Amino acid sequence: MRSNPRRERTCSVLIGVILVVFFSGCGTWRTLQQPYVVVREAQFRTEKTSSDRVGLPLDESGRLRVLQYLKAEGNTRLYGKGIADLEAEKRYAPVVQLLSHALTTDDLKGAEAKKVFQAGPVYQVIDARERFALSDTQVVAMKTGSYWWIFYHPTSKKLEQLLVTRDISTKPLR
Amino acid sequence: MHDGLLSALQTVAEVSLVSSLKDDRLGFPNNKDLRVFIPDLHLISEARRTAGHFRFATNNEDLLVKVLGALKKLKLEAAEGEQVNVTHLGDVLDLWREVPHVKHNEDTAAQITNDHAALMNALRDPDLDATIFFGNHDFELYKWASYAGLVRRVLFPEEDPRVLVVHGDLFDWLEALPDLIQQIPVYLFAPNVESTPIELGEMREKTMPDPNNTEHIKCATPALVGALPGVEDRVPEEFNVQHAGTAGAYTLLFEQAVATAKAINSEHDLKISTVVIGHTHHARIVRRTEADKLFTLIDCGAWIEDCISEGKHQQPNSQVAALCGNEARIYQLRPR
Repeated sequence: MRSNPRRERTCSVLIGVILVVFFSGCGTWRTLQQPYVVVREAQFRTEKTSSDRVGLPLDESGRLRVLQYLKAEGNTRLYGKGIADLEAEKRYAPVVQLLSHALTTDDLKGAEAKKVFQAGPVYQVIDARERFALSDTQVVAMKTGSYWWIFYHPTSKKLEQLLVTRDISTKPLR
Repeated sequence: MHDGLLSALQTVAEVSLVSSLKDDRLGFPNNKDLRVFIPDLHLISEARRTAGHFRFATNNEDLLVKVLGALKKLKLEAAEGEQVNVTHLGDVLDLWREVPHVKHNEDTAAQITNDHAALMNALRDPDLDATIFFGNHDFELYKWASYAGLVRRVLFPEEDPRVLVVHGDLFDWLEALPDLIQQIPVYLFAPNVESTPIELGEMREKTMPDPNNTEHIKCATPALVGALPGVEDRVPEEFNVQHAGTAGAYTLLFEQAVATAKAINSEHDLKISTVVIGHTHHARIVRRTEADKLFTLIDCGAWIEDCISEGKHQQPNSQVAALCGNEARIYQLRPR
Protein backbone atom coordinates (compact mmCIF):
# COMPACT_ATOMS: atom_id res chain seq x y z
CA MET A 1 0.00 0.00 0.00
CA ARG A 2 1.43 3.37 -1.03
CA SER A 3 1.82 5.93 1.72
CA ASN A 4 0.04 9.25 1.36
CA PRO A 5 2.22 12.01 2.98
CA ARG A 6 -0.67 14.46 3.14
CA ARG A 7 -2.93 11.96 4.88
CA GLU A 8 -0.14 10.99 7.30
CA ARG A 9 0.47 14.63 8.15
CA THR A 10 -3.25 15.17 8.76
CA CYS A 11 -3.36 12.08 10.97
CA SER A 12 -0.34 13.30 12.96
CA VAL A 13 -1.92 16.69 13.51
CA LEU A 14 -5.21 15.07 14.59
CA ILE A 15 -3.46 12.75 17.04
CA GLY A 16 -1.50 15.71 18.39
CA VAL A 17 -4.67 17.71 18.91
CA ILE A 18 -6.37 14.78 20.64
CA LEU A 19 -3.37 14.31 22.97
CA VAL A 20 -3.25 18.01 23.82
CA VAL A 21 -6.98 18.07 24.55
CA PHE A 22 -6.70 14.87 26.61
CA PHE A 23 -3.81 16.02 28.75
CA SER A 24 -5.09 19.54 29.22
CA GLY A 25 -8.38 17.97 30.31
CA CYS A 26 -6.51 15.85 32.85
CA GLY A 27 -4.82 18.98 34.13
CA THR A 28 -8.18 20.64 34.64
CA TRP A 29 -9.53 17.59 36.39
CA ARG A 30 -6.56 17.48 38.74
CA THR A 31 -7.04 21.15 39.56
CA LEU A 32 -10.72 20.81 40.28
CA GLN A 33 -10.49 17.57 42.23
CA GLN A 34 -8.04 18.83 44.84
CA PRO A 35 -6.94 15.63 46.61
CA TYR A 36 -6.23 17.11 50.01
CA VAL A 37 -6.93 20.08 52.24
CA VAL A 38 -4.32 21.83 54.36
CA VAL A 39 -5.10 23.44 57.70
CA ARG A 40 -3.40 26.80 57.54
CA GLU A 41 -1.49 28.81 60.16
CA ALA A 42 -3.41 30.15 63.20
CA GLN A 43 -3.80 33.52 61.48
CA PHE A 44 -5.91 31.95 58.74
CA ARG A 45 -8.18 29.57 60.64
CA THR A 46 -11.08 29.88 63.06
CA GLU A 47 -9.23 28.25 65.97
CA LYS A 48 -5.91 28.71 67.69
CA THR A 49 -5.90 25.18 69.09
CA SER A 50 -8.17 22.19 68.63
CA SER A 51 -9.54 22.81 72.14
CA ASP A 52 -11.35 25.94 70.94
CA ARG A 53 -12.90 24.34 67.86
CA VAL A 54 -16.36 25.56 66.82
CA GLY A 55 -19.14 23.21 67.93
CA LEU A 56 -21.84 21.89 65.60
CA PRO A 57 -24.64 22.50 65.00
CA LEU A 58 -23.80 26.19 65.15
CA ASP A 59 -25.40 28.06 68.02
CA GLU A 60 -25.52 31.85 68.28
CA SER A 61 -21.94 32.18 69.54
CA GLY A 62 -20.70 29.74 66.88
CA ARG A 63 -22.44 31.71 64.13
CA LEU A 64 -20.91 34.97 65.41
CA ARG A 65 -17.47 33.38 65.54
CA VAL A 66 -17.64 32.06 62.01
CA LEU A 67 -19.03 35.34 60.68
CA GLN A 68 -16.33 37.34 62.45
CA TYR A 69 -13.74 35.19 60.69
CA LEU A 70 -15.39 35.58 57.29
CA LYS A 71 -15.82 39.36 57.71
CA ALA A 72 -12.09 39.55 58.42
CA GLU A 73 -11.59 37.76 55.10
CA GLY A 74 -10.16 34.75 56.93
CA ASN A 75 -7.42 36.81 58.56
CA THR A 76 -7.79 36.69 62.34
CA ARG A 77 -5.19 39.43 62.78
CA LEU A 78 -7.90 41.84 61.65
CA TYR A 79 -10.11 40.95 64.64
CA GLY A 80 -10.86 44.16 66.49
CA LYS A 81 -9.22 46.26 63.79
CA GLY A 82 -11.82 46.37 61.04
CA ILE A 83 -13.88 44.61 58.39
CA ALA A 84 -12.30 43.43 55.14
CA ASP A 85 -15.30 41.76 53.49
CA LEU A 86 -18.51 43.78 53.68
CA GLU A 87 -20.55 41.09 51.94
CA ALA A 88 -19.44 38.08 53.96
CA GLU A 89 -22.53 37.93 56.15
CA LYS A 90 -24.89 37.94 53.19
CA ARG A 91 -22.81 35.64 51.00
CA TYR A 92 -22.22 32.93 53.58
CA ALA A 93 -25.66 33.10 55.22
CA PRO A 94 -26.84 29.90 53.45
CA VAL A 95 -23.84 27.92 54.72
CA VAL A 96 -24.21 29.24 58.25
CA GLN A 97 -27.91 28.49 58.14
CA LEU A 98 -27.29 24.92 56.93
CA LEU A 99 -24.71 24.31 59.64
CA SER A 100 -27.13 25.53 62.30
CA HIS A 101 -28.92 22.19 61.92
CA ALA A 102 -27.70 18.77 63.02
CA LEU A 103 -25.97 17.13 60.04
CA THR A 104 -24.25 13.88 59.18
CA THR A 105 -21.54 13.09 56.64
CA ASP A 106 -24.26 11.79 54.35
CA ASP A 107 -25.90 15.23 54.35
CA LEU A 108 -22.73 16.69 52.84
CA LYS A 109 -23.45 14.71 49.69
CA GLY A 110 -27.08 15.80 49.58
CA ALA A 111 -28.89 18.42 47.53
CA GLU A 112 -28.83 21.09 50.24
CA ALA A 113 -25.05 20.84 50.63
CA LYS A 114 -24.57 20.97 46.88
CA LYS A 115 -26.42 24.28 46.83
CA VAL A 116 -24.01 25.96 49.24
CA PHE A 117 -20.68 24.19 48.72
CA GLN A 118 -18.74 24.33 45.48
CA ALA A 119 -16.39 21.39 46.07
CA GLY A 120 -16.06 18.34 48.28
CA PRO A 121 -16.33 16.13 50.08
CA VAL A 122 -12.57 15.74 50.45
CA TYR A 123 -11.40 13.25 53.05
CA GLN A 124 -7.65 13.88 53.10
CA VAL A 125 -6.99 16.67 55.59
CA ILE A 126 -3.40 17.56 56.49
CA ASP A 127 -2.92 19.18 59.88
CA ALA A 128 0.70 19.40 61.01
CA ARG A 129 -0.45 19.94 64.59
CA GLU A 130 -1.74 16.36 64.80
CA ARG A 131 0.44 13.54 66.10
CA PHE A 132 -0.85 11.16 63.42
CA ALA A 133 -2.53 11.48 60.06
CA LEU A 134 -6.23 12.22 60.42
CA SER A 135 -8.50 9.32 59.61
CA ASP A 136 -10.86 9.73 56.69
CA THR A 137 -13.57 8.19 58.86
CA GLN A 138 -13.30 11.12 61.27
CA VAL A 139 -12.89 14.19 59.12
CA VAL A 140 -14.33 15.58 55.89
CA ALA A 141 -13.94 18.95 54.15
CA MET A 142 -16.12 21.04 51.84
CA LYS A 143 -15.27 24.23 49.99
CA THR A 144 -17.02 27.53 49.33
CA GLY A 145 -15.23 30.44 47.70
CA SER A 146 -11.76 30.69 49.18
CA TYR A 147 -12.51 28.71 52.31
CA TRP A 148 -12.39 25.07 53.33
CA TRP A 149 -14.94 24.02 55.93
CA ILE A 150 -13.47 21.05 57.79
CA PHE A 151 -15.93 18.90 59.70
CA TYR A 152 -14.92 16.55 62.50
CA HIS A 153 -17.05 13.50 63.33
CA PRO A 154 -14.88 11.49 65.72
CA THR A 155 -17.32 8.84 66.86
CA SER A 156 -20.08 8.57 64.29
CA LYS A 157 -21.35 10.12 61.08
CA LYS A 158 -22.71 13.05 63.06
CA LEU A 159 -20.77 16.28 62.41
CA GLU A 160 -19.62 17.52 65.80
CA GLN A 161 -17.04 20.22 65.22
CA LEU A 162 -15.97 22.72 62.58
CA LEU A 163 -12.78 24.47 61.52
CA VAL A 164 -12.81 27.02 58.70
CA THR A 165 -9.53 27.83 56.99
CA ARG A 166 -8.37 29.74 53.93
CA ASP A 167 -7.48 27.78 50.86
CA ILE A 168 -3.85 27.84 49.80
CA SER A 169 -4.11 29.73 46.60
CA THR A 170 -1.92 31.86 44.39
CA LYS A 171 -4.97 33.88 43.45
CA PRO A 172 -5.84 36.88 45.61
CA LEU A 173 -8.62 36.15 48.06
CA ARG A 174 -12.01 37.14 46.78
CA MET B 1 -3.44 58.98 72.76
CA HIS B 2 -2.25 61.40 70.07
CA ASP B 3 0.04 63.07 72.56
CA GLY B 4 1.45 59.71 73.60
CA LEU B 5 2.28 58.95 69.97
CA LEU B 6 3.86 62.36 69.50
CA SER B 7 6.04 61.85 72.57
CA ALA B 8 7.05 58.40 71.34
CA LEU B 9 8.00 59.76 67.90
CA GLN B 10 9.97 62.59 69.49
CA THR B 11 12.15 60.07 71.30
CA VAL B 12 13.56 58.94 67.96
CA ALA B 13 13.02 61.83 65.51
CA GLU B 14 12.66 65.53 64.93
CA VAL B 15 8.93 65.90 64.38
CA SER B 16 7.08 68.57 62.44
CA LEU B 17 3.43 68.86 61.58
CA VAL B 18 2.21 68.40 58.00
CA SER B 19 -1.50 68.68 58.74
CA SER B 20 -4.04 68.21 61.50
CA LEU B 21 -7.81 68.15 61.72
CA LYS B 22 -10.12 67.62 64.67
CA ASP B 23 -13.80 67.29 63.77
CA ASP B 24 -16.62 65.26 65.31
CA ARG B 25 -17.62 64.12 61.82
CA LEU B 26 -14.37 62.26 61.08
CA GLY B 27 -16.14 59.02 61.95
CA PHE B 28 -13.76 57.63 64.57
CA PRO B 29 -14.65 59.03 68.00
CA ASN B 30 -12.94 56.24 69.96
CA ASN B 31 -10.19 57.91 71.97
CA LYS B 32 -8.91 54.60 73.33
CA ASP B 33 -7.95 53.24 69.91
CA LEU B 34 -5.02 54.89 68.14
CA ARG B 35 -4.68 54.05 64.46
CA VAL B 36 -1.19 54.75 63.12
CA PHE B 37 -0.57 54.69 59.37
CA ILE B 38 2.78 54.28 57.68
CA PRO B 39 2.77 54.98 53.93
CA ASP B 40 4.72 53.75 50.89
CA LEU B 41 8.32 52.54 51.22
CA HIS B 42 9.07 51.12 47.72
CA LEU B 43 11.95 48.94 48.85
CA ILE B 44 14.16 47.44 46.13
CA SER B 45 17.33 45.38 46.35
CA GLU B 46 20.67 47.12 46.59
CA ALA B 47 21.79 45.48 43.38
CA ARG B 48 18.79 46.83 41.50
CA ARG B 49 19.12 50.29 43.06
CA THR B 50 22.73 50.50 41.94
CA ALA B 51 22.08 49.10 38.47
CA GLY B 52 18.97 51.24 37.93
CA HIS B 53 20.69 54.53 38.89
CA PHE B 54 17.48 55.58 40.62
CA ARG B 55 17.46 59.06 42.10
CA PHE B 56 15.06 57.94 44.82
CA ALA B 57 15.20 54.98 47.17
CA THR B 58 13.51 54.47 50.52
CA ASN B 59 14.26 57.42 52.80
CA ASN B 60 15.62 57.26 56.34
CA GLU B 61 15.42 53.49 56.65
CA ASP B 62 17.25 53.45 59.98
CA LEU B 63 14.87 56.06 61.34
CA LEU B 64 11.87 53.98 60.30
CA VAL B 65 13.26 50.99 62.18
CA LYS B 66 13.47 53.19 65.27
CA VAL B 67 9.95 54.53 64.69
CA LEU B 68 8.58 51.00 64.46
CA GLY B 69 10.42 50.16 67.67
CA ALA B 70 8.88 53.18 69.37
CA LEU B 71 5.42 52.18 68.12
CA LYS B 72 5.90 48.66 69.43
CA LYS B 73 6.85 50.05 72.86
CA LEU B 74 3.82 52.36 72.77
CA LYS B 75 1.58 49.41 71.92
CA LEU B 76 3.00 47.11 74.57
CA GLU B 77 2.79 49.79 77.23
CA ALA B 78 -0.71 50.98 76.34
CA ALA B 79 -2.96 51.48 79.35
CA GLU B 80 -5.66 48.94 80.08
CA GLY B 81 -8.54 49.42 77.66
CA GLU B 82 -6.39 51.31 75.17
CA GLN B 83 -5.01 49.89 71.95
CA VAL B 84 -2.52 50.97 69.32
CA ASN B 85 -3.05 49.57 65.82
CA VAL B 86 -0.30 50.06 63.27
CA THR B 87 -1.08 49.81 59.56
CA HIS B 88 1.29 49.90 56.62
CA LEU B 89 -0.65 51.22 53.64
CA GLY B 90 1.05 49.17 50.92
CA ASP B 91 3.92 49.41 48.46
CA VAL B 92 6.31 48.09 51.09
CA LEU B 93 8.21 46.47 48.23
CA ASP B 94 8.52 47.80 44.70
CA LEU B 95 8.33 44.71 42.53
CA TRP B 96 7.71 46.87 39.48
CA ARG B 97 11.08 48.55 39.74
CA GLU B 98 12.81 45.35 40.85
CA VAL B 99 11.93 43.07 37.92
CA PRO B 100 10.08 43.45 34.61
CA HIS B 101 7.95 40.36 35.32
CA VAL B 102 7.35 38.50 38.56
CA LYS B 103 7.76 34.75 38.19
CA HIS B 104 6.15 32.42 40.65
CA ASN B 105 9.22 30.23 41.00
CA GLU B 106 11.60 33.12 41.67
CA ASP B 107 11.36 34.71 45.07
CA THR B 108 11.75 38.31 44.02
CA ALA B 109 10.32 39.46 47.34
CA ALA B 110 13.08 37.71 49.31
CA GLN B 111 15.64 39.22 46.94
CA ILE B 112 14.49 42.63 48.16
CA THR B 113 13.75 41.92 51.81
CA ASN B 114 17.12 40.26 52.41
CA ASP B 115 18.69 43.65 51.77
CA HIS B 116 16.38 45.32 54.32
CA ALA B 117 16.25 42.69 57.05
CA ALA B 118 16.15 45.08 60.02
CA LEU B 119 13.26 47.06 58.58
CA MET B 120 11.27 44.03 57.46
CA ASN B 121 11.77 42.33 60.83
CA ALA B 122 10.62 45.46 62.63
CA LEU B 123 7.57 45.81 60.39
CA ARG B 124 6.62 42.14 60.76
CA ASP B 125 7.38 41.93 64.47
CA PRO B 126 4.56 39.86 66.03
CA ASP B 127 4.45 42.24 69.00
CA LEU B 128 3.84 45.18 66.68
CA ASP B 129 1.13 43.13 64.94
CA ALA B 130 0.97 45.56 62.03
CA THR B 131 -1.68 45.20 59.36
CA ILE B 132 0.04 45.41 55.98
CA PHE B 133 -1.75 46.33 52.77
CA PHE B 134 -1.10 45.36 49.19
CA GLY B 135 -0.06 48.35 47.12
CA ASN B 136 -0.05 48.40 43.34
CA HIS B 137 3.74 48.06 43.18
CA ASP B 138 3.66 44.94 45.35
CA PHE B 139 0.27 43.48 44.51
CA GLU B 140 1.98 40.44 43.00
CA LEU B 141 3.03 39.40 46.51
CA TYR B 142 -0.22 37.45 46.52
CA LYS B 143 1.76 34.74 44.74
CA TRP B 144 3.73 33.89 47.89
CA ALA B 145 2.25 32.17 50.92
CA SER B 146 4.30 34.23 53.37
CA TYR B 147 2.42 37.34 52.22
CA ALA B 148 -1.04 35.78 52.47
CA GLY B 149 -1.89 38.06 55.37
CA LEU B 150 -1.74 41.25 53.34
CA VAL B 151 -5.06 43.03 52.90
CA ARG B 152 -6.65 45.25 50.24
CA ARG B 153 -9.12 47.26 52.28
CA VAL B 154 -10.25 47.65 55.87
CA LEU B 155 -13.29 49.47 57.17
CA PHE B 156 -13.68 50.55 60.78
CA PRO B 157 -15.08 50.80 63.41
CA GLU B 158 -16.29 47.22 62.96
CA GLU B 159 -19.76 47.82 64.43
CA ASP B 160 -20.52 50.88 62.28
CA PRO B 161 -17.85 51.48 59.61
CA ARG B 162 -17.16 55.18 58.93
CA VAL B 163 -13.54 54.99 57.78
CA LEU B 164 -12.26 53.24 54.66
CA VAL B 165 -8.56 52.40 54.42
CA VAL B 166 -7.08 51.43 51.05
CA HIS B 167 -3.70 51.85 49.39
CA GLY B 168 -5.20 54.45 47.05
CA ASP B 169 -4.27 53.12 43.61
CA LEU B 170 -7.96 52.36 43.09
CA PHE B 171 -8.63 56.08 42.83
CA ASP B 172 -5.77 56.54 40.41
CA TRP B 173 -7.28 53.94 38.11
CA LEU B 174 -10.69 55.53 38.26
CA GLU B 175 -9.10 58.70 36.95
CA ALA B 176 -6.70 57.26 34.40
CA LEU B 177 -8.48 54.16 33.17
CA PRO B 178 -12.15 54.90 32.60
CA ASP B 179 -12.52 51.61 30.70
CA LEU B 180 -11.91 49.78 33.95
CA ILE B 181 -14.10 52.03 36.04
CA GLN B 182 -16.71 49.31 36.49
CA GLN B 183 -14.33 46.41 36.91
CA ILE B 184 -11.95 47.64 39.53
CA PRO B 185 -14.40 48.68 42.25
CA VAL B 186 -16.19 45.38 41.72
CA TYR B 187 -12.90 43.56 42.14
CA LEU B 188 -12.01 45.44 45.30
CA PHE B 189 -15.32 45.75 47.03
CA ALA B 190 -17.63 43.05 45.76
CA PRO B 191 -15.81 39.83 46.49
CA ASN B 192 -18.87 37.72 45.78
CA VAL B 193 -18.07 38.01 42.10
CA GLU B 194 -16.48 34.67 41.42
CA SER B 195 -14.58 35.31 38.23
CA THR B 196 -11.64 37.66 38.37
CA PRO B 197 -12.80 40.68 36.38
CA ILE B 198 -9.32 41.84 35.58
CA GLU B 199 -6.14 39.87 35.27
CA LEU B 200 -3.38 41.01 37.56
CA GLY B 201 -0.84 40.91 34.78
CA GLU B 202 -3.07 43.22 32.82
CA MET B 203 -3.30 45.53 35.83
CA ARG B 204 0.45 45.90 35.93
CA GLU B 205 0.71 46.50 32.19
CA LYS B 206 -2.04 49.09 32.19
CA THR B 207 -0.96 51.03 35.22
CA MET B 208 2.80 50.67 35.35
CA PRO B 209 4.78 53.82 34.81
CA ASP B 210 8.24 53.39 33.33
CA PRO B 211 9.99 51.22 35.96
CA ASN B 212 13.34 52.44 34.69
CA ASN B 213 12.50 56.09 35.22
CA THR B 214 15.44 57.21 37.30
CA GLU B 215 13.96 60.56 38.27
CA HIS B 216 10.68 59.87 40.04
CA ILE B 217 7.91 57.38 40.82
CA LYS B 218 4.80 59.41 41.62
CA CYS B 219 5.90 62.96 42.33
CA ALA B 220 7.42 64.63 39.29
CA THR B 221 8.31 67.50 41.62
CA PRO B 222 8.59 67.50 45.41
CA ALA B 223 5.20 67.56 47.10
CA LEU B 224 4.31 70.86 48.77
CA VAL B 225 3.29 70.03 52.29
CA GLY B 226 2.94 73.41 53.95
CA ALA B 227 4.91 75.20 56.61
CA LEU B 228 6.06 72.18 58.66
CA PRO B 229 6.22 73.85 62.07
CA GLY B 230 7.68 72.00 64.98
CA VAL B 231 5.20 70.56 67.44
CA GLU B 232 6.59 71.88 70.68
CA ASP B 233 3.40 73.83 71.22
CA ARG B 234 -0.14 72.47 71.25
CA VAL B 235 -1.14 70.87 67.95
CA PRO B 236 -3.90 73.02 66.40
CA GLU B 237 -7.32 71.53 65.73
CA GLU B 238 -7.00 72.45 62.08
CA PHE B 239 -3.71 73.04 60.36
CA ASN B 240 -2.81 73.09 56.68
CA VAL B 241 -6.03 71.35 55.60
CA GLN B 242 -6.89 71.49 51.91
CA HIS B 243 -10.49 72.61 51.39
CA ALA B 244 -11.79 71.01 48.21
CA GLY B 245 -13.42 73.58 45.95
CA THR B 246 -11.12 76.36 47.17
CA ALA B 247 -8.68 77.91 44.72
CA GLY B 248 -5.21 76.42 45.01
CA ALA B 249 -6.27 73.46 47.13
CA TYR B 250 -4.36 70.29 46.35
CA THR B 251 -7.13 67.74 45.94
CA LEU B 252 -5.58 64.88 43.95
CA LEU B 253 -7.82 61.76 44.18
CA PHE B 254 -10.25 63.46 46.61
CA GLU B 255 -13.22 63.36 44.24
CA GLN B 256 -12.58 59.69 43.44
CA ALA B 257 -12.37 58.89 47.15
CA VAL B 258 -15.65 60.68 47.86
CA ALA B 259 -17.36 58.97 44.91
CA THR B 260 -16.16 55.56 46.13
CA ALA B 261 -17.30 56.26 49.70
CA LYS B 262 -20.71 57.29 48.42
CA ALA B 263 -20.97 54.17 46.24
CA ILE B 264 -20.14 51.91 49.19
CA ASN B 265 -22.57 53.81 51.43
CA SER B 266 -25.30 53.39 48.88
CA GLU B 267 -24.69 49.70 48.25
CA HIS B 268 -24.15 48.65 51.86
CA ASP B 269 -26.21 51.24 53.72
CA LEU B 270 -23.13 52.61 55.48
CA LYS B 271 -21.87 56.08 56.39
CA ILE B 272 -18.26 56.11 55.24
CA SER B 273 -17.02 59.69 55.53
CA THR B 274 -13.25 59.37 55.86
CA VAL B 275 -10.84 57.66 53.46
CA VAL B 276 -7.22 56.93 54.40
CA ILE B 277 -4.67 56.32 51.65
CA GLY B 278 -0.97 56.34 50.75
CA HIS B 279 0.03 55.91 47.11
CA THR B 280 0.42 59.51 45.92
CA HIS B 281 3.52 60.29 48.02
CA HIS B 282 1.94 63.65 48.83
CA ALA B 283 0.92 63.95 52.47
CA ARG B 284 -2.14 66.09 53.14
CA ILE B 285 -5.65 66.19 54.58
CA VAL B 286 -8.43 67.25 52.21
CA ARG B 287 -11.96 68.01 53.33
CA ARG B 288 -15.31 69.16 52.00
CA THR B 289 -18.63 69.64 53.71
CA GLU B 290 -21.75 68.56 51.82
CA ALA B 291 -25.07 69.33 53.49
CA ASP B 292 -23.42 69.31 56.92
CA LYS B 293 -21.72 66.02 56.12
CA LEU B 294 -17.93 66.05 56.11
CA PHE B 295 -15.92 64.02 53.59
CA THR B 296 -12.25 63.75 54.40
CA LEU B 297 -9.26 62.27 52.60
CA ILE B 298 -6.21 61.56 54.74
CA ASP B 299 -3.26 61.00 52.41
CA CYS B 300 -0.47 59.76 54.64
CA GLY B 301 2.45 60.57 52.32
CA ALA B 302 5.45 58.28 51.79
CA TRP B 303 8.98 57.30 52.77
CA ILE B 304 10.30 57.88 49.26
CA GLU B 305 10.74 60.99 47.12
CA ASP B 306 10.77 64.48 48.61
CA CYS B 307 8.47 67.07 50.06
CA ILE B 308 9.00 70.79 50.30
CA SER B 309 7.63 73.25 52.77
CA GLU B 310 6.76 76.84 51.94
CA GLY B 311 9.96 78.61 51.04
CA LYS B 312 12.09 76.01 52.76
CA HIS B 313 14.52 73.42 51.50
CA GLN B 314 13.11 70.17 50.30
CA GLN B 315 13.51 67.16 52.53
CA PRO B 316 12.96 63.41 52.17
CA ASN B 317 9.38 62.27 52.69
CA SER B 318 9.26 60.42 56.03
CA GLN B 319 5.69 60.64 57.20
CA VAL B 320 3.44 58.99 59.74
CA ALA B 321 -0.27 59.67 60.18
CA ALA B 322 -2.60 58.92 63.06
CA LEU B 323 -6.33 58.87 63.71
CA CYS B 324 -7.91 58.74 67.16
CA GLY B 325 -10.81 60.46 68.93
CA ASN B 326 -12.01 62.16 65.73
CA GLU B 327 -8.64 63.81 65.28
CA ALA B 328 -6.25 63.19 62.39
CA ARG B 329 -2.61 64.24 62.30
CA ILE B 330 0.20 63.80 59.81
CA TYR B 331 3.78 64.22 60.93
CA GLN B 332 7.00 64.65 59.00
CA LEU B 333 10.00 63.02 60.68
CA ARG B 334 13.72 63.66 60.40
CA PRO B 335 16.59 61.76 62.01
CA ARG B 336 17.88 63.34 65.19
